[in-house]
Amino acid sequence: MKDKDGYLFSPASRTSRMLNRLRRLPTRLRQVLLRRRILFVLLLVVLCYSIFANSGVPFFPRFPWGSSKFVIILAVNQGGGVMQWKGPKEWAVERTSIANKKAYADRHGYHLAIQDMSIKKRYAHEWRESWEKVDVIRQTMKQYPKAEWFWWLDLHTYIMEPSISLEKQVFNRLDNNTYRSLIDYNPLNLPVEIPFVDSSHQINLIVPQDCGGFNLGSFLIRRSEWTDFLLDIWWDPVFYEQRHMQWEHKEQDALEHMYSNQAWIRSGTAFIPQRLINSFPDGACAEQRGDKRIFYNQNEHDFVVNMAGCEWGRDCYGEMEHFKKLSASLQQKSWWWPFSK
Amino acid sequence: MHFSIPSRSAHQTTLPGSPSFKAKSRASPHRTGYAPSLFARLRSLILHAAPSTQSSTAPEKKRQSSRRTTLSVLVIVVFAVAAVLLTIMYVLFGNIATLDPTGPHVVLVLGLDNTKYKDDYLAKIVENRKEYADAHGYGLYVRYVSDFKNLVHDVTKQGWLKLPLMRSAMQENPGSTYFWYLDQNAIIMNPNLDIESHITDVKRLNSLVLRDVPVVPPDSTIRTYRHVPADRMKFIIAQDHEGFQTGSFILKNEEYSRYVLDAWFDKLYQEYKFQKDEKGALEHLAQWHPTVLSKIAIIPQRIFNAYPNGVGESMYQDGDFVASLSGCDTPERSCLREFERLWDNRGRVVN
Repeated sequence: MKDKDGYLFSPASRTSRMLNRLRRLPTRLRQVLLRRRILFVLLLVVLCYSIFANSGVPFFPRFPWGSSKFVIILAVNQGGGVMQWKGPKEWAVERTSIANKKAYADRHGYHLAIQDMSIKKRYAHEWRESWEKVDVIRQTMKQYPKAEWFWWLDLHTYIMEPSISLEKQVFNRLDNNTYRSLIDYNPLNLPVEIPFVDSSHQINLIVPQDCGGFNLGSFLIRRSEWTDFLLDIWWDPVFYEQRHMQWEHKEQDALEHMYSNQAWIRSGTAFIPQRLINSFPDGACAEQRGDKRIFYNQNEHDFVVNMAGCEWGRDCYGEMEHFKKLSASLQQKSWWWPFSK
Repeated sequence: MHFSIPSRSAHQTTLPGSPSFKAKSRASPHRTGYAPSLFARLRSLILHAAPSTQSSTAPEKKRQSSRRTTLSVLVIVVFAVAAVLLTIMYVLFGNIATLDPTGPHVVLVLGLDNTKYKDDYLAKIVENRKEYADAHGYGLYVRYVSDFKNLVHDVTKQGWLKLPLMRSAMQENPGSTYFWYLDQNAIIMNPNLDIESHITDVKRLNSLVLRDVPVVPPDSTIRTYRHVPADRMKFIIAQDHEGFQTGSFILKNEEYSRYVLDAWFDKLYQEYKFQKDEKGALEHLAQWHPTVLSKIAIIPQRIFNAYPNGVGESMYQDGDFVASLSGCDTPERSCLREFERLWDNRGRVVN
């Protein structure tokens, strides 16, 4: 028996009736869409926007197919509670930081690699201690073979403006946002010129400078052959033996040394103004109070705040809570901000 | 709503982005510019997929399909022309990556020490190199090593000076591929051999590379790699019974070489007082940093660094490429005397 649409119709079987209804669905759908072409167009536009737009439409599902280019490496569990007790405040700080980065990564479709920085045996007796960063970056690069840029973030950082994507903040105008010469800002008084530097080389490492030198609390590194070489040469027993007593900041100082002495490092390194990815709270770099290049400015909606050194003498928990509340209130007050940029 | 019937002239002038291209009336015929937009194409797909709702009229279909065929023909033609052009460019200019062939393929690098040696001696060395370079179309980069004295930590250790010299040579010859550093106290005894077929050609290099040999003879733990293919080797050097012999080595003009030269020349290595100066520093680098070791090719010493007074494997024999007087500036030996003996016996270019 056939019904008016020509489908086989068996009144006795319920399942066959349901099957028929299902079979009719695509044609029905098509008919509806064609009748309401505007609806179709709107749906298509919204779909495209959600797929292709960088900072997604809020509350709309995103398909992060293209953004696996960026990986955020978040260093947590520094010390692993071995040298210092990890109390409820430390746990709370860690939770806040991780939640903040997770929300940011989800919003923009970036990968988030949460890396454990507990004290490991192979770093015992000061051997390579504080050079773990290098090993972790190498490991993460292996874990995300398709990603291009890796953004290292220390635990005591907070992304204040989650609506801003990395592309917008840094990469869309990479040459404008970074500087390669130390002429204008040279807080460490490193040699401004050394021979054999190639200034047209691709930028593979983007590092901010704070009041005391390079700051590796928030920096970007690109996957490349140059980076493989850097990650290999960064720790060397001869360098370590001769300088580890003077190098308070370990791999940071090692990088500063290599930058001053080896031209190929200079060729691939660019600096970024600190307030673009690494603003300081008032407590850090206290001697330079008032310096507009260093400190977090909420009126200008700085991107990230790095509470560097808060575990020595300041209150990490208090600062983290303060910035968390501040960020929430800023998001509420100026929801139009990302569109005005 | 904007409504217009496409005409021949409209094809040429109406572009997809132009203001007149707005048409979305239901009653309008399938209207496109010369290259239909994504939306219009989708729209036509839908129209054709559901014939019950709206069917285009027959002449419309014909015009559409003829337009589509012309479009596809045009696309094919464009791609064909592009393909032909690209192949021509490839054939003419060879490897696209080196579209800048402004330099000789190989550059000989020579550093002269005019504080310890007389000018006529140095002139003979330069003549020897020049004869070789001219015969094979290679470049020759000659500098006084004293130019680089302010870059080294300890000016009495002359061995370090060859590193900024090589770096400078590479910087000033960006179009060249291979850089062969040969010590001043060495003579090219057989200038009829060319670098490519004698050393750097991939198959030849593959046959020469010593695999699984200790980096520091006789028995260091770290040994050279067994399976790295020769085409990835960028640093060709020989070893004598003591270790790396830096009197003669070849570097390829790549990121790796700049990295190795700069890292090797680091101030902290110079200050460390290795027993064998820069040779010791290179051995250290090779043992501690796999990114350095993986691209080092150790080849037999007689290939380009034979010792006339050497023993066994390293002993110079007639017909060998280079005779090296390395270590001749010790009191027991005399560079000039050994040089004179070899100079008279050297081979000349056979035309």
